[in-house]
Amino acid sequence: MRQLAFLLYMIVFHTGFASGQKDIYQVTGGTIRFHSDAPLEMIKAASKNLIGAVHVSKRTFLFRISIASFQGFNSPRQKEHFNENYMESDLFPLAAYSGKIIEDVDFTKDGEYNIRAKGKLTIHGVERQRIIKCHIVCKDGTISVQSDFIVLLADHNIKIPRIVSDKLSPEINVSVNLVLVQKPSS
Amino acid sequence: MSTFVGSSAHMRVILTVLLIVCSYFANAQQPFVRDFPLTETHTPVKVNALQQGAIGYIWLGTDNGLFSYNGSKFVKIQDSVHQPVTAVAVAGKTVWVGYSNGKIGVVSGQVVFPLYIKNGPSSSVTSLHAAGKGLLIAGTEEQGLFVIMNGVAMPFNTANGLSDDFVYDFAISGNRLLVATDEGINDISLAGNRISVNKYTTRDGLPDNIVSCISKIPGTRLYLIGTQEKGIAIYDDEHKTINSILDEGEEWAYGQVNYILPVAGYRAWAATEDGYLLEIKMNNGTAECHPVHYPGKSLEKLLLDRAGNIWCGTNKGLMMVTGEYLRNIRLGAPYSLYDVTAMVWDNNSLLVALKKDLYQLLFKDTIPSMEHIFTANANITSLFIDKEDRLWIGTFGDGLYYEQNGNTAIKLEGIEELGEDASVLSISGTPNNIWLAGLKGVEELSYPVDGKINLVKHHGKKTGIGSDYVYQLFPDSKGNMWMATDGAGVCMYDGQKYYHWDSTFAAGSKVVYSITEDKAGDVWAATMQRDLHRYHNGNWENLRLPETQFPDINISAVMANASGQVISVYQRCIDEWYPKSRYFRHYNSALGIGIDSTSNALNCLAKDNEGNVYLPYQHGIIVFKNKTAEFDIAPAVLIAHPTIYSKAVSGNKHKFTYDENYIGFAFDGISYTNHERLNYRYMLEGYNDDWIYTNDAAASFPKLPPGDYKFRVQVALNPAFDHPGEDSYSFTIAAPFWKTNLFYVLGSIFVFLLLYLYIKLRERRLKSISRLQQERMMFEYEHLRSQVNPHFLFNSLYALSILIEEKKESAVDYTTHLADLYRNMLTHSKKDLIPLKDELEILENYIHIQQTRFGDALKVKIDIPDEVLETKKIVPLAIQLLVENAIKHNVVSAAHPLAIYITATKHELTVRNPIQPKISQEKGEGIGLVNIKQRYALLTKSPVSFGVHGSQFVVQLPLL
Repeated sequence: MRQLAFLLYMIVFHTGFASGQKDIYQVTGGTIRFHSDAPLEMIKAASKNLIGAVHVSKRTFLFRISIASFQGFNSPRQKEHFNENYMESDLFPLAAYSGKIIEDVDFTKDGEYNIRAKGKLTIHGVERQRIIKCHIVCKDGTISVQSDFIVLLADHNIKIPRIVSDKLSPEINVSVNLVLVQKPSS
Repeated sequence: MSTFVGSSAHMRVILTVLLIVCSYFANAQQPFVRDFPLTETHTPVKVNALQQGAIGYIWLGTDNGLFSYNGSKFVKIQDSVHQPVTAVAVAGKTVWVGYSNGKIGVVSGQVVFPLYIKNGPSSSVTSLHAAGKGLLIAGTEEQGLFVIMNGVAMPFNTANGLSDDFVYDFAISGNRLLVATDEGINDISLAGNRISVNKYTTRDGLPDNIVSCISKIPGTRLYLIGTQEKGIAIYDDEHKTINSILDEGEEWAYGQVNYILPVAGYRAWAATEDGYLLEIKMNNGTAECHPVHYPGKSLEKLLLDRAGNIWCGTNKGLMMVTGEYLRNIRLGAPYSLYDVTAMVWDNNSLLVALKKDLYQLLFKDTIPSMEHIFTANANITSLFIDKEDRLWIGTFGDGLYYEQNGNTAIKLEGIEELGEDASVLSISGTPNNIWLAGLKGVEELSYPVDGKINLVKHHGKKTGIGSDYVYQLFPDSKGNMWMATDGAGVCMYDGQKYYHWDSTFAAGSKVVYSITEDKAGDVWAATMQRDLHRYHNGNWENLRLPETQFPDINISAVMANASGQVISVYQRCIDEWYPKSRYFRHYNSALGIGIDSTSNALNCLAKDNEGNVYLPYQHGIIVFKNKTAEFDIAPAVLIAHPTIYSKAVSGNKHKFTYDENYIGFAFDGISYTNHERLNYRYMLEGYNDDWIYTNDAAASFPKLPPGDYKFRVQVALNPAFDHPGEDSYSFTIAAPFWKTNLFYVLGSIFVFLLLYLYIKLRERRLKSISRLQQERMMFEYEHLRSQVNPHFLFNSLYALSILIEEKKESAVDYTTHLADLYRNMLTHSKKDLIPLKDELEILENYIHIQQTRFGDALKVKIDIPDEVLETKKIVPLAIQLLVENAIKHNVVSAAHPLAIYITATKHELTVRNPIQPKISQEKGEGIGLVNIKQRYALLTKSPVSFGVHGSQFVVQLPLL
């Protein structure tokens, strides 16, 4: 919770005190899944520990997830490899995505929109400028976000040992579902 | 500074939608590509920026730093930043580099020097432009724009009115800057001291707010805009319109547009993130777009070099694209066009004969289809489309067929000279007649009228061609018919007469395969023994010989395109003559673009209505494009910095000292066409005036004597150095300091001064000698005068007379002393110094005389140690003079006797006498003492002192 508080503080700080809290929507439920389709092995896992918020009038956002929170691997051994060999979650415990929303969308109006989020995607300690397409549904003050995108291991300096190159695809498919609600005024 | 006027979309832009008019034909023509992978420990290196400098190098900004490329090899430019190079700018000979951490550097020699820039960017530099006068403009990922001058950066970002701080790219036009951002285009203009910003977004007709690149079409007010997901749009600055090339509602399927390269003829090439290279043709309100996909690559930047190559920076290295001069129509299996026997262009299709079968190549798709349209009874050897679009088919041994009523092929019969089993090697047409060439000469026929064809004229060995074997007929632009014969060389018929060039012309070959006429009106002939010849101003010349040194006997065809290039086909290569550069572009399998073998059937080339030349090869058809711009394939050469004793010195240094005389040069040839064919030669003017030919791109000169030199190096694509590229470097080796004029002048002055000093010293010495002499003479004179003083003489003579009266014996003695005195005075007075003993002898004589006069009233007491008496010297007559002075100035009487004491130490002699002044002072010419003093001064530094000590007068003389 302390992390979330810090996050919200950061967003408010970044976007100026003038804008009220009603502009801030925070994640109440979110799932990130990924799967890697390699010839010999398919790896998939998911995490619900996504935190983050969107400032709807400034059109900025920040999301963060703990790498160690991913569950649902084929085996505990696979999870161990994931954390220790590839993601090095001791060194880089978080993945984050922060930036701005390109499309000028009124999130307070009910409706469905396709938008592009642009910002820095940080995985394995390596920052990359990414533009990620999202499908959003705004209804009754909640924003549902759905997005699928690809992460290239090479982009984030995640090295695959040659011996397991058949077990790990250089492209990882990531899918995100999350719901944001207006932050209750306190 | 200036004031900013932010105006959000004051100017509404009208959105005009254009359709993509896809030409599938052009789609079938793909450029050849060649990959130059850049790898670092097996990981591909991404190219982020591409620029070509004035000198010719291509500069690559990559994730692994900066590289230069000369057409053959990549050279890493060392730096201390160790970050990806994300932007490169070139201005003259200066190369600027922008890094992913915001640093900016400048290239000097083989090193990038990072610049310290006050308030400079700290975010990745996406674009960099040198605007002249040391002004640099940088776009960054998160901090907007920076204007950098004299090491100070001025930011221009959202605080100044920019719509977003993420700058992808910008275009410069006069005082305006069109900036591509995540929030559309910002049109920044500087008018006077005011900066105004106009913003264009989707509300103004921009297809997409993320504008990923922008390029100005040179010479127009049009800008090409690439977007993230809505493709390409054209911004018309004059009419303030933005036109998307996408249909409304149409999806852009090619990915983010990363770069757009405008080229001549209202065309452009665009590179996309998803690996598409698109050729865009703009035409008065419409645009065509022809994509080619390179899977697995992301295309980042494009560059057109001056030789016409398009270079594409990708995420895996560099890709060379031949699209501006050479294209490829690729055929799918099972077709192989290696065995094509004849080919002709027919209305947007190609007719291709593969042995007995005739196919039509239709360019409907990326891979063209081949439709079989005719089978002959023998191999088809020639094809022709006449002025009425009628197809003529010549065979080898089965005569001639021609097209009637659109789709029936009729065999020509009834022409006796031709025969039914004739071989037709070439078919051609003039406005009035159709011409056939074969193994029995040339038949000039009428066009079919009501199904009838008549023989107009038979040309053959006997009528004047000189041979019956004619490989090709070529009607030139002046109405002449040229014939390539086997046995009689080149023959030309002007309607009246035959003209011949065989063994007498420079080609010297009797066998000629192919003839063409280039854009300038010169005729070219492909000959068997003597290769390729051009007929220019009444002379045949072999332009290829300087390059190849030996004629290639395997030439099979020659044909010119509409922009002046001449294509000649050989078994192992294809050469393309560039008349402006006066070089051949050389294509072979080593070029690495996949041209391995061509048809070796004679004259297997076709030309379309625009003049592009088609040549069949293993995988399809090569298209030699008409050039839309004047490309220059001449190579360049560059002298790297010189070395002194193998140590690099700055290229700006042109003066060396006499011992910096072991000078070396490395040079580098630049060619983006045929780097492997470069020849070098160099000369050091002032040292040796002969060219030295080398393959080693270096030269060194040990022990150069002082002088002025000019190192010249030339590069050429031919060993004959016809039209070479050149670079030179002038330098001076200074003479050693002892050979300089300054040294001579200073030396002379020094010698002169020495001489002057010597003369002066000598003069002074002579002067002092003469003064001494003068003094002595003076003294002598004075002395003699005093001695012959009548008073002294009177006194002496008076004393003598008394002695004669009273003491006769003493008188003799007295006279002897007087005589001795005078003699001694005369003897010694000429010398500078005399022994003290001699002086005392004179004194004794003098005292004797004076004592005779004064008796006991005068007492002289001499107390001088013997050793002093023996060894020391004194100025002659000095003591005598002092004693005389004492007697002269003092009372000498019985009542007041005068006692004179003469004593001596080792160094001085003292004469003392009590002072008893006379009442009447004799005129004391005082000259005596002064004279002694001066004479001593000339001889020694020891002083002569005299003066009153108590009641005594003391004179001290130095003993020498």
